[in-house]
Order: sequence, then structure tokens, then C-alpha cells
Amino acid sequence: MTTTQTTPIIGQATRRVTGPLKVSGQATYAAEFSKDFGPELAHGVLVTTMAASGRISSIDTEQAEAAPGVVKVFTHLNAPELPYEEPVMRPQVQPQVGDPLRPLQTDQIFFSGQTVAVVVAETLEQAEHAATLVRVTVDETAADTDLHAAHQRPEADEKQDTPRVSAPKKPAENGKMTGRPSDVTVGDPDAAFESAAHTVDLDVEIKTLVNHPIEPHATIAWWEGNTLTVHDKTQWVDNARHKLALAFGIRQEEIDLKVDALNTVKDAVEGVLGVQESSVRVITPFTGGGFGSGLRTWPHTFLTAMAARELDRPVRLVLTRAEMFTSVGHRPHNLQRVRLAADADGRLQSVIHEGWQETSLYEEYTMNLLNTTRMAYATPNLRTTYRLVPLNIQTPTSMRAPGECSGAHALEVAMDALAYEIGMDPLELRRRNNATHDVQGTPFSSKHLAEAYDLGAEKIGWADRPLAPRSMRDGDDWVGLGVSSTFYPANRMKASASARLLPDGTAQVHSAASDMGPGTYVSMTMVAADTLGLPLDKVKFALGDSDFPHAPVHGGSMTMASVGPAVKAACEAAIQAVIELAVDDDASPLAGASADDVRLEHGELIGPGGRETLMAAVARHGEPVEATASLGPNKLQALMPSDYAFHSYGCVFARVRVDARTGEPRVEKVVAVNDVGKVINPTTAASQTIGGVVMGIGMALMEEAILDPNFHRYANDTLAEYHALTNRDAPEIEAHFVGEPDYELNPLGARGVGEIATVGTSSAVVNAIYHATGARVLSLPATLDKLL
Amino acid sequence: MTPFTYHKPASVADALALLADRPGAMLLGGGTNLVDLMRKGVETPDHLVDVQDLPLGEISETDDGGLRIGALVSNTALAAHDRVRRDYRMLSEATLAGASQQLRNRATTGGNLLQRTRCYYFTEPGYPCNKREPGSGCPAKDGFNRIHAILGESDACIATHPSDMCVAMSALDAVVEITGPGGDRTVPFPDFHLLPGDTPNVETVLEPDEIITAVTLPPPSDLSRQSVYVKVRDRQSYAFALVSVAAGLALGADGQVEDVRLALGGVAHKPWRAFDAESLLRGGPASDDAFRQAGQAIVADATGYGHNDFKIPLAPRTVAVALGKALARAQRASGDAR
Ligand SMILES: Cc1cc2nc3c(=O)[nH]c(=O)nc-3n(C[C@H](O)[C@H](O)[C@H](O)COP(=O)(O)OP(=O)(O)OC[C@H]3O[C@@H](n4cnc5c(N)ncnc54)[C@H](O)[C@@H]3O)c2cc1C
Ligand code: SF4
Repeated sequence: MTTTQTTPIIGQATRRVTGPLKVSGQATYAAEFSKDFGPELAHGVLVTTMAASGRISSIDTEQAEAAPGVVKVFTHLNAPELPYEEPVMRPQVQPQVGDPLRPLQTDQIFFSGQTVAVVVAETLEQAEHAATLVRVTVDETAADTDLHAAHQRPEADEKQDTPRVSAPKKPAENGKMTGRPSDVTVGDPDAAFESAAHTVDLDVEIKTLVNHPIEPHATIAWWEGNTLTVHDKTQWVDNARHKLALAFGIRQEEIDLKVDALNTVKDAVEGVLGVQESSVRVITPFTGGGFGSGLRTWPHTFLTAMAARELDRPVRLVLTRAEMFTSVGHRPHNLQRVRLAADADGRLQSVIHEGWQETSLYEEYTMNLLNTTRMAYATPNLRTTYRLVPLNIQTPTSMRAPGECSGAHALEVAMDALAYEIGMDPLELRRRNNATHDVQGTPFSSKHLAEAYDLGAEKIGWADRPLAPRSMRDGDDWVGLGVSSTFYPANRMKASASARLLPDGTAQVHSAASDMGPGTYVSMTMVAADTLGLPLDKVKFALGDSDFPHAPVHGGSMTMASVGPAVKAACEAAIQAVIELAVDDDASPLAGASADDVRLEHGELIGPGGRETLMAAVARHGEPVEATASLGPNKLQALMPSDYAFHSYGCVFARVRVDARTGEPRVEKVVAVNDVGKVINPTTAASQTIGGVVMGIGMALMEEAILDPNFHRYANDTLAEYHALTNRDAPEIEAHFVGEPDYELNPLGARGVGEIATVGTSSAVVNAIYHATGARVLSLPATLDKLL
Repeated sequence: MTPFTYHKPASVADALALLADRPGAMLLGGGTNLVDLMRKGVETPDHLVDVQDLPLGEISETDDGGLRIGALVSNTALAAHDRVRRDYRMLSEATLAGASQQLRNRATTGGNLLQRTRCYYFTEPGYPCNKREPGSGCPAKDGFNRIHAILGESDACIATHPSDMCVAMSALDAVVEITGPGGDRTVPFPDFHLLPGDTPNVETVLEPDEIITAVTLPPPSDLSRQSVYVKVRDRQSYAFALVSVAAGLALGADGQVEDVRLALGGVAHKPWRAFDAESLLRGGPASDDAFRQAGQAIVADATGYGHNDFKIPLAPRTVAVALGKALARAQRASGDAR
């Protein structure tokens, strides 16, 4: 007798299948694979520069090389030159303009904290000590990290040799303006602004934020002949594999084939190429957070693989917390000016949103800073202007809702200010401008924002809120309620999965996806179990291995929407394969039926002449039945032609207290209501939302990497001094969902939760602080000195 | 980390001998500050003398009814001690306001006194810093100085002492017990830490070959029982004080201030005992106005360096908050007594 599942699993609150492993320390993160190695494992430590600009004039490694246990010190003087080829089509996680930093291939210094040497020793302690003995001299040139001054400079023209403010050099590639166009104008925003009844004009600043996942970035790499295997903290094993292969000039064809192929499993690739083995493999079953820092493959990963190859032994390298500030990207410092104009009834007449964002001197990092503005509210006139300012910093990277988080913050703070300018309830202003189309007139696929407003308002007690700021006092505290809308594009990309049904009644499902915390393991297990009609414990889903079928990046909130349908399709294909076997098998009650007449219901195959469980058919077959599937658009859904604009929507309400004497702000309660289409797992969706809100409160109140103006280096580069939220700062948080499955986007109807959860919280908090105190904080974080 | 030798003596005499024989040796308490600084290369001791096995881990009563806190008593044990909670309330509150539970479990009383500043430039050896390398300069003055001093600072250094516990100890007139090659000596708490002057590298009166054995508290009083600690910081836990105030009030029969203790953290190179403000308050009304004026007097000569300017208005406000709370406690206590 095989077990079947007779009730639906999707949509049921389900605990993480990996929870027990994680809390008992058995989930193995990249650096922890050291347990698989003996003393042959060598340890690498980076040497970074203090200087922020110039050229290395000398590196003295003599003392370091003589230190106990040192195997080798790599610098630009002795490191092998690596091919570091770039893919023809760069992955979307990587800037499209400029060249990635390739430490040890150049003597040039672009920012303070840049890696200039790698010390490899027998033990970590020996490597750390030797690293302090490397003396680096830099012929320094003037560095520039002042965004305020730099953004006012004239725009770049071709002939300048010093970097200047510029529009993105490779702007959006589609007509839908969903990319990062430099300028978008609709109607006549200036004239409409001039003649409107009510206007606001705000300058907003968002300082540098650092992703800081709890697990530091780490790599273990080893070579067997020409075959490289890597454990790397990453959100995308396939891209890490691809980039490593290109860096070392390995078998481009094989790599491309895997990425492009519809549903490649390892065997298929080998069959086509006639090679015996896959030459680069990245294995990362667990990723301890990332928030985007694991999207790209960063220099230390290549350096570790390089050291392993040169020394012909496995090498492990773990970034220190200080190095996490300058090695794996950050949310860029940006300045924004927002002008909003409304008529007497509060209907938007003009929206003008300009943004200036820092990037590095060697790459042009762009993000969706102004995209939200182009879809959030209905307005006849609009202009967005996006400019980049190269400074002596590392290339920024995506951090949870990159762009949207910063841009929507400014827009939503401006909406609040506009409401007060009109004398209108800020929630009412948002209701009046609720849009059905984006700015180009494309209708939204499925939008339930109005319901979200209603539910959130009820849960936070909005109806009792007096409009005037500084009108709620409790003891020594000013109390305030704030609201913000939240938006995030719903995306999807091609993904593949394999499903293997075993004679013992279990199923194995694989995809090269990642789980940096949202619960990919459990949600994919649920999709597979639901599709196969099996209980959860009969399905084993595995991810994080580049030899598994291809998955897109674990970012952009699209894992559920992309990998989920692939898992479903692979399971369906496997079911179909079983049906084909059963109808041909005399021992089956389905024998002789047409495969088209057999369907699966609650784990049972039902045909015209009889029925049997799916797994009974597999068991009788005696061998695994396997199928793969791949589906979804070849490019980001947002860049594909479509009748709909796909987004998620929601709102965040916050209640804050500000101590009237000391200015200390505290968030007391947050209610987040989101419309994300079908919620696959209410447990993990709520937990993602809560995490996103926590992060948003941190952004509102305390997070900031502070650049020293003279040394151009982050002064507070520890987790003691870079303040992220603690449990004690985290308030009561309610996560609610509204809406319906969005089948226009994918067959599961799910849109993804991870990023919309963090958009909107910072603005709701800052708006609540305004309501509490009357102080409009325009430069984040809203620390107490701004509220005294 | 620079290699070092490690010793774990079992007696104070042995520990002193190790210090005497090995110049460049440092004592290791809980290691929560020293090990971090060693890993950063800020401290590079050649020898570590671990004090964990010394018999200094007890809290005991003194003959006059005060308390003697051994140098090895953990911050957790100190804050949780019944008599500390009842009789020296500000000390329990201050200690609990510091760091995190895990750090407090590990951190020792002696180590807390000698913990070093959190100045960003001090803790990263790539920067110049007069405290780390005398004469090299002070980048904090025209750098990022939000956490820096507004009182008692010097041209050479504007760093603050980060401890919460020490602020309460200063206000309570604790006494530091020290032993060294020359025998035992005691130092009143307010004299233990030094202002930076021209030698910001010298932070206390402790000599390199001496050991802190205990901190003693004088007998408790109504004032110490009703005292409070108020800490203003950027987040609710695991953040150092921007400004903190330890305050205690004793009221006369007429409701006037009979006695008062006031010390500030986060504003100076040492726990800032506000003797002048105490004098201003003593014998005067226990009113919000008087509290504010006392606070204003403390910052009358304060200097801001830009990012820390806000501490100048914040300090007197926090003084008023703390004194207000102490007053409420004093009034409640006298109400209960009646
Ligand atoms: C992230 C973080 C946050 C923190 N937050 C706070 C805070 O909010 N408030 C606060 O007050 N503190 C805070 N702390 C500091 C913490 O309180 C100190 O690190 C701790 O008290 C030091 O005690 P220890 O025993 O670990 O000292 P160690 O690190 O072992 O030693 C510190 C110094 O004391 C010397 N020493 C130790 N014992 C003796 C002795 N018996 N005699 C003479 N010298 C001795 C050592 O030689 C060394 O120089 C924080 C620390 C960290 C890491
Ligand atoms: S304030 Fe003191 S500790 Fe900080 S950099 Fe200046 S001299 Fe060094």
C-alpha cells in the first residue's frame, strides 16, 4: 500500500522542512564544508588597502612569507593572469557597463577596502597574522566620495577623462520603461506643476546600507585536474559556475549549453559534448541570508579558486565582517528630489522624480530607483530622471528591493507631505490616486490594493487617528500613525526542474535554485507533493547544486513564480510518464486505456477501467521514473511583450512613539497587507513579510554605513557600530494578505513576497514620526538627533 | 592577531609576578574587548595573563555594610545580585543597559573599567590616532564624531569612555581596589579614569604591573536605593550610550534636595561625575526647573565637533529625565514609609 495525500497542501501553513536541520546545526553552510577536509585544507585571508585611490607602488611580502605556516602570499606581482572572460550576454545581476573588479590583476586602487593580496597559510590564525605583516604602499591620488558635491557637477561629455554625473550608458532595452531609462516624460509635468492647486517639493536622502546577511561570504574551492568544485555562499549556483568557468577559461560551450538548454541535466550535456564530466560545479545547499549580496560572484571567490589551483590543494576563505562592507556590494547612497502636484480634490496632476545614485569608478550599477514612480499612482503628467555618480566606492549591488525600496520611500514620504499640504487624510490621498494602469497605459494583471488599504486601516485603528501632527500624546511620548503604499514588480524567468519517482514510494525533485531563508525548500516540496498527490514527507526537494537543472537567480522575488511552475511541470511530466507505463502494463488496472483518459487525483491514477495509486504503478515498474521540465520566459517577464503589467501591491501602517524629551523613536506596531497573488505557504509568506518589515524599520531608524569624509572609508565597519534592528527594537508585526491567484503571470498564480515586504516600511515609519512630532525627516536614518 | 604567550595563574601573587617579569604583558578578563582589539591589531600584547582562576569572583559585604565586588564578578552576576538590585539600583540598571546578555555573561567588573573607547578611528589601525599612536593625529575631530565627547576633551583626543557600569560606580562613590608590586592601594572611582590631555594613551591611574582586585561600594542609603540609570541610544539593546545619566536623590523633610548624585556617560573621556551640578541642586527645590538648570550648568562649557553637537542639548534633557525618575522613586519611597 503506498501513501497518498488526499487534501491540498498548497495554501496550507507549513513549517520549513529544513527547520530541524538548521536549529540543530546540521545544515551545512559554505565555510562549514571544511569538515569534509583534513589538514590539506589551506586558509586564505585577504589583505585590503586603506588608501581609496591611486596605484600600488610596492607590496612588501617578505615578512609575511617568513611567518609560521604561510604557504604563499599572492599579489598582483605574482598572481597568474586569468582569462576572466565576460559572457556575451551579461546576467542581469551584473552591471551592463564597465568591468568587474579583478583584484591581483591590476595595481589600481578604486576604493578603500579593496583587496590587494591573499595570504594562504596552514591555519586561519597563521594566515590572519601573516596578513598583518604585508606592507602595501600606494601612490595615492585624490579620492572622491562626496555624493552631495559630485551630483551637482555638470553632466559628462564624451571627452572627459574624469568620471562625471551621467545618465545610464546602457539604458532600458524595452519600450515599456520597466528598465532603468535615464529620462521618461509623459505629458507636460512642469506646466502642470506650476499651475496646480497644491504642490510639494522635497529633497530626500538615503545613505549607504549594507546587506549583512548573518552568514559571511565564504568559499571553499578545490581542483581535480581541470575540474573545479566550489562551495560558495551564493544566491545563484548556476551563475557562479558560469562565471568561474569564464574566469578560468574552461569549456565555454558546455556552460552556455547548460544555461541555454531547455531542461538540461548533467547527462544530457555530457552526451552532446562527449565529455566525461562537468568541469565546474558549485554546491551550496544552504545560504544564510544574502538580501542580494549573493547574486553576483565576487572577487574573493575567484581568488580562492585561483589560490587552490596554484597551490594544488583545497583553499577556504571567509570574509571578515569588516570585509563584508567593501567586498560584496551595498545599497547605494542616493539623493532624490520629488515634486508632486495635485488639484483641489487631491488628484495628482504632476509627478517629477529625479534621482542621483552613486556607483563605482569601474562599473555602472543601475537599479530600479524610479520604476515605482512610473506605476504607483495615476497621473496625467510625469517625469523621471535618473543619474549616476561615479565615486571611489566599490560597485553597489542589489539589496532587498533594490531601487524600489529607496525610490518608493521618497515617493511615499512626498505623498504624505502632499496630503498635509492639501489637508487631506494621507490614506484618502492614496485611495484617490489608486491606478489601474501603469504610466504607459498597460493594465495591471490583478490588483487588490484598495482592499489592502481597508484591511490595514482596520487593523491599525486608522479611523481614530486625528489628522493633525503632534496631536497624540501618551505620557512622555508623542505617538503617531503613518501609512505607505508598497509596490514591487512581479517577475518570472525560465526555470527547470527534474522529478524522479522511486519504487519505494518517494519522489526526488531537483532544481539549481537557492534558499537564502525564504523557504524555497518547503515551498517547492509543497508544490511537488501537491502535484504528485503525495504527503510532504514522501517528497525530497534538493537545490543549490549547479549540476541540477538550471534555475534563474534567487532574487527579484521570482523564485516561487519561476521555479515553482517548473517543479509543477516536472512532476506532471513524471506523472505522464507513469501513465504511459501503466496503460501498457497488463498488471495495471489501467491497462489498455488511452493515456489521455487517465488522470491523477489525490495521488491516484484514475482511468475508465479502474484505478491505482501513482506510486503503486512506479513500484511495479521497479525502476525510477524520471522527467524534466522547463518553462517560463527566456528573459525577465517584465521585459517581454505582454498585455499586462505585473506587480504586487500592498500597504504598511506603522504606529510609533517618540520620546518628547530625548527624541528616541520607537516603532510600536506595524501592519503590512500585501496582494502577492496566490500565497503558497502562509507561514513562510508571513515570516518573509515580518523580516522585510524588520529590515525596513532598521532602514528608517538606524542603519547607515558612514563614510569618513577624509579617508573615504566606512568608519562604523562592525556590527556593533553599524546598527541593525535588535529583537528589542522589533515591534508587534502583523502580516496579512489579500487578493487572488494571478494566473496571467504563471500557472501557480503566485507572485513572490520577498521584496515587496521591505518596500514601504521605512516610509510608513517616517510618516508616522511626522504625525507624532511634526518633524519631517528627509534624510535617513531618522536618528534621535533629528528629532530633538 | 600577533602571536603571544598565554598564562593562567591561580593566585594574585603569581599574576603580579608574571606581569613584573614580562613587560608587554596584559591581563585577560572576559576578553570581550581585549580579544576584539587584538584581532584588529590595536592591542598587540606579547603575553596574556588570564585572570579567570584568581580568587576574585565574589560579591561580599564589607564591615560597614557596603559591598565588595571582586574584579572577576561578571556583569550579569553583578546586575542580578539581590543587594545590588535593592540597595544600588542605578548600578544594576546601568550594568543591564550595557552590551548584550551574552557579552554581560562573559564581561568582568575589572575588564569593564578598563574597556577602551569605541572611537572608530582608534579601533582601526589604518587611521592615525593619538590614543593608539601618540602624536599621529586625531581624525575624529574633522571626521565622523557623532559618538564623541563634548566635555573635558583635549586637542589631542575627543574620545568617550563607553562604559555604563562605570557611570553608576562613579555616582555611587565607589572605590577601586588595586594591588601591585608596591602593595595594595585604593582609588576613589571619580579619580580612577583620566581626561585625555596631551596623553590620551594613558586612560587610568592603573600601572601596567598592577591588578584591579575589587570595587567597593559605600554603605547604601535612601539615595542609592532610589537611584536610576537612564541611557539614550540609537537602538533598544546592544548599543553604546549617546548620553546616559546615573542619578540619585534624597529628599529632606521639606521636600528639598537633601543629597544628590549625578554622573554622565557618553559625554567625556571618563565617566563624568557632575560635582558642580550636585552642589547647585543640594538644598534647593526638587523641581523640573532646577533639574534642567543643573543639566544646563553641566554643558555650559561643552564643545561640539559637528556630528555630536546634539549631545549638548540632549545631555541636560537626559539629566532632567533621570532626576525626574529619581524624584518619583524618592517620593514613592517616602510615601510608602508614611
Ligand atoms: C558589541 C559590544 C557592545 C557593548 N556594549 C556595551 C555597552 O552598551 N555598555 C558597556 O558598558 N559596555 C559595552 N560593551 C563592553 C563590555 O562591557 C566590555 O567589553 C566588558 O565589560 C569588558 O570586560 P572583559 O572582562 O571582557 O574585559 P577584557 O576584554 O578581558 O579586558 C579589557 C581590559 O581590561 C583589562 N583587565 C581585565 N581584568 C583586569 C583586572 N582585574 N585588572 C586590571 N586590568 C584588567 C585587560 O587587560 C584589558 O585591557 C560592549 C562590548 C561589545 C563587544
Ligand atoms: S578621538 Fe581619540 S581615540 Fe579617537 S581618533 Fe582621536 S585621538 Fe584617537
